[in-house]
Amino acid sequence: MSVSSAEAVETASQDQTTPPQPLSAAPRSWAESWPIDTSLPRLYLPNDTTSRAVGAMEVYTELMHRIERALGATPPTTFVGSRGLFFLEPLVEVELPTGERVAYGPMRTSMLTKRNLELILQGRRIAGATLGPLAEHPHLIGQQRLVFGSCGILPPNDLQALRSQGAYGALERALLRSPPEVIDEVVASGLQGRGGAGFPCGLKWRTTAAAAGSPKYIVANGDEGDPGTYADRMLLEGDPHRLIEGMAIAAYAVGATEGYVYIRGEYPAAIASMRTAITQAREAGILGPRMLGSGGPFDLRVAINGGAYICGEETALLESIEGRRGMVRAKPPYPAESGLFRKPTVVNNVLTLASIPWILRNGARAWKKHGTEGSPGTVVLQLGGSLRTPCLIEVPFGLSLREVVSGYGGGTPKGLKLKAVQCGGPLGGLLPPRLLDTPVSFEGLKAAGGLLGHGGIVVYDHRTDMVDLSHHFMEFCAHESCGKCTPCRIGSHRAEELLQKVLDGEGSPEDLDRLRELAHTMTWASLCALGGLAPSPVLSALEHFPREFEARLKRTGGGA
Amino acid sequence: MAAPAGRVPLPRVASDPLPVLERGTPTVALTIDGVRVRVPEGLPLIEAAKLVGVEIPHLCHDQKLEPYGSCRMCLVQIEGRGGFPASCTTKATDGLVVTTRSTALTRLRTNVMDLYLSDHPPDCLTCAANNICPLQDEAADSGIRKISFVGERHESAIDRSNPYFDFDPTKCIVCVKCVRACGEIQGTFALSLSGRGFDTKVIAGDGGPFGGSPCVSCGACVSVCPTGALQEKTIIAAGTPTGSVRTTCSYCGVGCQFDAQTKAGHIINLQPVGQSPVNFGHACVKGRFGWEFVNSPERLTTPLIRGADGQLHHASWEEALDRIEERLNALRAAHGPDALGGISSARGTNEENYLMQKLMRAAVGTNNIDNCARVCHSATVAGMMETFGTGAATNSLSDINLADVLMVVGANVTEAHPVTGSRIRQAVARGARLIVIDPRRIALVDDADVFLQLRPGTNVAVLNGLGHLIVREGWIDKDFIERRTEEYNAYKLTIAKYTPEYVQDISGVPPDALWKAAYLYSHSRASMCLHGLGVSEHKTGSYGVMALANLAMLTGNVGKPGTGINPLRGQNNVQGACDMGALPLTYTTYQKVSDGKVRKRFEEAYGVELPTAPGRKIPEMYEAMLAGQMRALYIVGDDIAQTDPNSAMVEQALRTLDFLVVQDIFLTKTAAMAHVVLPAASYLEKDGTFTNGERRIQRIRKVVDPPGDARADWEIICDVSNRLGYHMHYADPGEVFAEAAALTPLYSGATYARLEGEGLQWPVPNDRHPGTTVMHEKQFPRGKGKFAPHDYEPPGEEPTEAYPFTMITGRGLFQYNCGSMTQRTKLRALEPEDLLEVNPADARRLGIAMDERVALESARGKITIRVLLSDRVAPGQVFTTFHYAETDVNRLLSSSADVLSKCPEYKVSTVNIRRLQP
Amino acid sequence: MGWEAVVAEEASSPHPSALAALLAVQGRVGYVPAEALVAIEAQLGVPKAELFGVLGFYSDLRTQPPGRHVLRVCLGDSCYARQSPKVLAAAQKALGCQSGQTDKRGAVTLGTVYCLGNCARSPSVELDGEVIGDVSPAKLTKVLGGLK
Ligand SMILES: Nc1nc2c(c(=O)[nH]1)N[C@H]1C(S)=C(S)[C@@H](COP(=O)(O)OP(=O)(O)OC[C@H]3O[C@@H](n4cnc5c(=O)[nH]c(N)nc54)[C@H](O)[C@@H]3O)O[C@H]1N2
Ligand SMILES: Nc1nc2c(c(=O)[nH]1)N[C@H]1C(S)=C(S)[C@@H](COP(=O)(O)OP(=O)(O)OC[C@H]3O[C@@H](n4cnc5c(=O)[nH]c(N)nc54)[C@H](O)[C@@H]3O)O[C@H]1N2
Ligand SMILES: Cc1cc2nc3c(=O)[nH]c(=O)nc-3n(C[C@H](O)[C@H](O)[C@H](O)COP(=O)(O)O)c2cc1C
Ligand code: SF4
Ligand code: SF4
Ligand code: SF4
Ligand code: SF4
Ligand code: SF4
Ligand code: FES
Ligand code: FES
Ligand SMILES: [Mo]
Repeated sequence: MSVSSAEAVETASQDQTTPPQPLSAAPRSWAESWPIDTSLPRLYLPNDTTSRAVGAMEVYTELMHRIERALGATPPTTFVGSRGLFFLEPLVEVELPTGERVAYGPMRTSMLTKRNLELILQGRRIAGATLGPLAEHPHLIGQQRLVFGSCGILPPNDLQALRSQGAYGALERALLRSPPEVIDEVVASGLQGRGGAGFPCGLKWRTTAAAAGSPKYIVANGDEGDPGTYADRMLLEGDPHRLIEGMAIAAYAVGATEGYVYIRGEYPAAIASMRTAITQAREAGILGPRMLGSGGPFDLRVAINGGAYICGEETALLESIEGRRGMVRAKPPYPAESGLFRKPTVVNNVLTLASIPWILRNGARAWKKHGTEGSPGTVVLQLGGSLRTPCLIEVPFGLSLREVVSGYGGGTPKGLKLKAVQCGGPLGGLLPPRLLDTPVSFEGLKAAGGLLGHGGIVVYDHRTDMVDLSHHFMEFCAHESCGKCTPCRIGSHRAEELLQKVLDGEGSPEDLDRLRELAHTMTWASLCALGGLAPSPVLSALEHFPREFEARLKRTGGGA
Repeated sequence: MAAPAGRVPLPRVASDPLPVLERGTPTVALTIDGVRVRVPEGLPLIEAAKLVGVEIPHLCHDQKLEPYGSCRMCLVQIEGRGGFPASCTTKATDGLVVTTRSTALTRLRTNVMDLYLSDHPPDCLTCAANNICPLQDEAADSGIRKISFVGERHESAIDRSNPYFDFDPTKCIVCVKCVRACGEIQGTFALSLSGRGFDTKVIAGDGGPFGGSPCVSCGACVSVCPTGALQEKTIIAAGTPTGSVRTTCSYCGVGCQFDAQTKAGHIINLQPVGQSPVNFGHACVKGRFGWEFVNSPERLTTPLIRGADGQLHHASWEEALDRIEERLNALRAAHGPDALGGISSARGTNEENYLMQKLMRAAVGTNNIDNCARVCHSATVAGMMETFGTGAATNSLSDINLADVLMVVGANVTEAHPVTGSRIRQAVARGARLIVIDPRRIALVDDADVFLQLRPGTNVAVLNGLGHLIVREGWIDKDFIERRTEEYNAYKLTIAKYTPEYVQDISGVPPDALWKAAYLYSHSRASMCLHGLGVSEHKTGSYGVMALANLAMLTGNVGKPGTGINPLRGQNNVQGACDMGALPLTYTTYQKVSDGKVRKRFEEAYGVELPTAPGRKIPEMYEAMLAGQMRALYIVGDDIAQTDPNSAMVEQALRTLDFLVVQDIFLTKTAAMAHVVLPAASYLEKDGTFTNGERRIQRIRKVVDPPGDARADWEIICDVSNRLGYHMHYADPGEVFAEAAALTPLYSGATYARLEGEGLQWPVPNDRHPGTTVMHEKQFPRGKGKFAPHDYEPPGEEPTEAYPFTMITGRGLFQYNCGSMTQRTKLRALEPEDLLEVNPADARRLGIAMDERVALESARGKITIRVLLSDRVAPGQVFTTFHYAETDVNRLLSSSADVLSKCPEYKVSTVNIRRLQP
Repeated sequence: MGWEAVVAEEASSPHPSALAALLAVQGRVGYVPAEALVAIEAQLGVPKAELFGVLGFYSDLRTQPPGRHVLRVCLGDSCYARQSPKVLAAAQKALGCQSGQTDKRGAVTLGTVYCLGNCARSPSVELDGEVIGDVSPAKLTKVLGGLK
């Protein structure tokens, strides 16, 4: 956890004279104009989208400004990603001479008094924002940060610092083993895809490795379309080299020579960070004609979505990379056999691929020590909605929803009552409070009628109107339907119309039957899981909150 | 919505054929609705089901298209698998147990249909697709009673901008078949979808009307549309056809098969045939839609005789035949039989061409018989005869699917042979490599891996250059050269000097591109050459063809599937016209008139002594006319006054004649000069056979009666013969064919009965022979293949100060040759005049603007023409079509021709462009 | 102005993509001008229909210049749970226009989006590419008031 040799810091500080993107929107950088006093302790400043969204840049600028005014110089700084404790942002960490890092947050400019600045630079307590060493923060203590181990700690775009901390070590080791051995290791880990379907990663690789055709491709799915999820974004911004390492290992294992990182357009910072990292990896000889000088050729490019949820679905995603309309392809053939440009292609979620370096470094057995029988390893959960302390956590599979929501999430804010928990995004189900003891694992959530999906957990409080929420989900589905298959193309629109009718107080009991029948058609006849699963939140609302729907139906005068 | 009772379903796409079981593919056994069946591995379940007689409901599936899986009507259940997989996208594997009917499936299908109908106009009875609508059929089958949803429906206006079909978006079910057909079958990619979700809709081009989009009106989208959304105007106007007759297109040499659909004795539409190995359900705009000329009021309906007033007057058949009998007999008596001649029609049937040559030889007593192959691929025949010993395409059109590398030389395939063009594009889409050799940036260049943009008339240099590189780099097929060829050393000596640099000097082709083409052509399992008039219509046309044949032998690319030298024969039956002996030096299938044994056989068959003097080729006929040696000419279906080169000379020659008979379906420029004009029946009005460019003999069948007194060419020829005292009596064309086949070794195994179905590709030596898809597999007709090297010689004309531009002439998609037919259809509007394509750089220099009319001048004459600025032509070159009599382009051309075959040099002449208004 | 280079660059990439070219053009000038479509069609060799199909599929792409600022209100699930429909209503009221439209002054084009990845600090909006978290109707109205 402590940071790097003096040498690394030295270079790091030089690197950091140009802060990472996207600072374009931030105030003019202090580091460009002010002298840096290396006798001052180094500050670690989270530069995550959410940090900035809650004013981190204003706070940092003011902080540096005031230190400069007070001391005539500024301390060296390092931008890092976030640790996911977003309720603590804007956050500032100070590296003490002991190497220990102590944190302050959430910071407000009003806290930046001269006195407080002095205290901060000494790592001492200030009122209202002292957090101490973050590793000991109660939120992090219970976590197992296998994938997010560097995020928020190491500078994402300082390749040298990262390598000194072991980055690309797993790739080095993998290159010493045969490709089938690497695949066997991944198979043995039982790693399941983090994109939603939970398909065993190693088996997918094995298929691609065996498939005829060249070149082969590795595609990282960073579309992260599910509203309520942000783990891919955090990793892309905060630790992009981990993804590159995972992709390089995948490429070696299956014999791929080209790869794409597909990122949604809503994530400009992730796109910029990823592009920088790819350039760095190329310059360092990690990517290029010979991976790390000993592997085969492998190079990466970033492709960007233009605002279409369906492009997270792997075949639509491939169409999108090819530059076309993101329309779902019928499967089989699966991308593993015929994917990008109709060549064998591994499509994995960002988190799946980012799990690979840890597994290759520590072994499948170590990975399997975490989690449950059916869901080995850790799970990255992203909490959102009506919670006191929404955050990203990485924990072993198997915790109960209650531990997650009430524990890490801090429960609903004061005065608000938890009404439903939604797992797995817009394709997952809604769980009522009585199901809060459901274990968070692929099998646990499935049994409860939910879905793990990409690990997004959104909490709704008592103010939520379940009919309106159902309409909201169907509107999303209708808006995002690719339009290829009839049940979803027309069905989602009709379902939205029916729910609007109920919402307007014009619905009849037959309309609810019609809705259920339509949901059945969509579920079983749709071509892809968007149309197939989009009815689930609505069906679960109907199941768990039937009275809210009935209460909305039209009063038909003469009864019955 | 409900379909009316008692309707007779007529298949809309002329066929929803059974899947083709290719020999050799591994099979799997599966059970469908309790029936065990063995099918090729990987066959979509929906196709496998057909084999056990189970028709699974479907709206987006089509055997001709890639599996898509959008309509979700074809869902089935598979034992041991959850859910309801789509049978169109699920492939047959061993041991599957499939259920296609169940209450669960019916529930889903009915509900999907419910959704369709909730966004569909409610009234089938007013719809042109009524009774021929798969959506309507599926709706009826699903048993749906009423629609569950009241909601938004799409409303938009009908797009009537295409001349042949309407697009009614309200009836569109977004099955995307049209979009897929346009891309996957036609290769034009004029269509796409826009929007998404409920707003997904079909767009043409930028979303405007079809008329303004890149659509080329091939009709593929209309054929596959399962609703009334895309519908032919003729069906909208006339209603559902009730009868259907299979026949062959009479435009180009591809030979597409159609079902001519009729109602109350009228043709309603022509539907391409799905099972045809020639056009696999596809067609081009001319064949599919351009048949309306048959109903033109300008059709010739009675014979015409030139009166004392110099005008043509309607006459009876008796009068016309009397006149012909009298004049021909008199002129023959006075000047001898060789003062008479005939030009037979490559547009007519084999039977007609056979009778025409028989008429000239047996009834008149001269070998003066030729056909328009002379001005077309005669150089190909000469070149291939010399090298291989036979002049026809070595391979089949379907071989395009088998080749790794396709080399297209001097052929603008997407316009002149559109269905073959689509086939090439499909092959490229599947991964075949494409080399294009052409002076113009034709459409196929977009699909090409290498484009050799040579100067017109420099084929021999470029092809020798390819040979040079292949020999130099050692990419030759030594074994093939040793076993199957002779004269290799002579070839090596000749090509030695054709270094890439030397070739570049002559042709302008960069060495890199030349190298890449040589590499590709010589590094495949099978490289196939397809060539057109850009090779043959040159002063060195036959040498160019030999240069191609040399390359094929050098690399062993002949005599096996997916290879060969394949001229894209032009006219529907130009192959057959030549096969049937409508040539001055040969009887049927190239049996030499000079061969006494052969002649004896024909004399025995014909019961008369036959002439021995060699006949005259068309250009030699002109010379003879101008020299006063020929006094009468009988032309069947060839508008030489417009389409032969140096037309002023041609007209002059025709004017020297004492008697000119022209037999045509329209009063062409040539017919207007005749003393007697005879009205012929068109291809939809008679029976017979055509032989297409891949040697496939196919039937044509009478669909409607000819107009007025018009009669089939074969009947007229018989009458003329009888009047000349040589008896010809046949009950029908079948009898003629049988007689011809008996005298024609390559056709001997063909009979009308055997031609049912897909026809037969000659050689068919006996009645059990299946026909020949690949020629020269074991040996060449001349024994060994002969390398025939020739040095480059410059074309007949090279740019001078007075005539600084090189003019290429050729074809446009929507017009056909002399235009007599296409210009009497709506195609006229799609390509309303001949345009002079000028490179923008040249235009800038000359100060010429787009659409300006300019004077175009050669040493022979001057015409005016409108300008189209286009970088399809290179600077210093211009291009124009020759389809409009009004333009009279051929007035500018010289009589320069291929030395061996007399094939005119249509592709190179030099001209000058002048502005009309300064 | 400015987009020619990006079209040329995409055309020379190993796998030219119409979508990438369209996004790059829009990244430069805020929308996709008609001339850029012509250039993409010609330089990338994309069939016209397909290009317009792509244009009509991705909701980020637009062919008309937006206002001087672009505001997108998140309607994703986490933001919805934290009352983002009210934020949208406030934006509509403040700007006097609906989602998909530009206010009368031409200052702000209003849109919606499903999730900005800022769910831990919902509700979120995006203004000119930068995310703002913890928005309330009042806070947003204030921000909009400050825009020119
Ligand atoms: N739409 C339509 N289709 C037709 C016809 C029609 O009139 N209209 N006519 C039919 C007939 S009769 C025929 S024969 C065929 C002809 O079909 P094609 O042979 O394809 O027809 P053309 O357009 O005459 O010429 C072919 C190409 O030769 C190129 N060329 C010219 N000079 C040279 C040269 O020196 N070297 C090379 N390599 N290429 C050269 C021209 O640029 C042109 O692209 O089409 C048949 N199909
Ligand atoms: N400048 C220039 N000139 C060229 C060429 C070129 O590339 N450039 N190409 C040359 C080539 S390759 C060719 S093949 C010629 C073609 O030139 P032509 O043979 O003159 O042209 P077509 O239009 O095919 O039609 C011949 C005639 O047949 C008639 N016809 C159609 N069907 C029937 C029928 O069933 N019976 C009868 N009796 N008549 C029928 C038509 O009405 C037409 O008048 O043109 C040549 N002329
Ligand atoms: C409608 C829909 C949206 C999806 N969105 C995403 C996404 O945003 N990110 C993702 O990784 N996978 C998404 N997926 C799942 C992918 O199709 C695919 O299964 C996944 O990328 C495979 O990677 P994995 O095996 O590593 O999970 C989506 C699937 C569907 C049906
Ligand atoms: S279910 Fe919806 S998103 Fe999926 S293929 Fe069908 S229309 Fe497209
Ligand atoms: S398209 Fe078919 S289903 Fe629709 S109205 Fe016409 S006939 Fe009826
Ligand atoms: S008519 Fe042919 S070219 Fe035109 S849109 Fe239909 S399929 Fe495409
Ligand atoms: S126009 Fe016809 S073929 Fe095309 S999508 Fe609509 S219904 Fe299908
Ligand atoms: S390609 Fe030739 S044969 Fe086929 S329809 Fe067109 S003109 Fe007729
Ligand atoms: S036919 Fe199978 S989904 Fe349409
Ligand atoms: S749901 Fe609004 S930022 Fe994620
Ligand atoms: Mo021809």
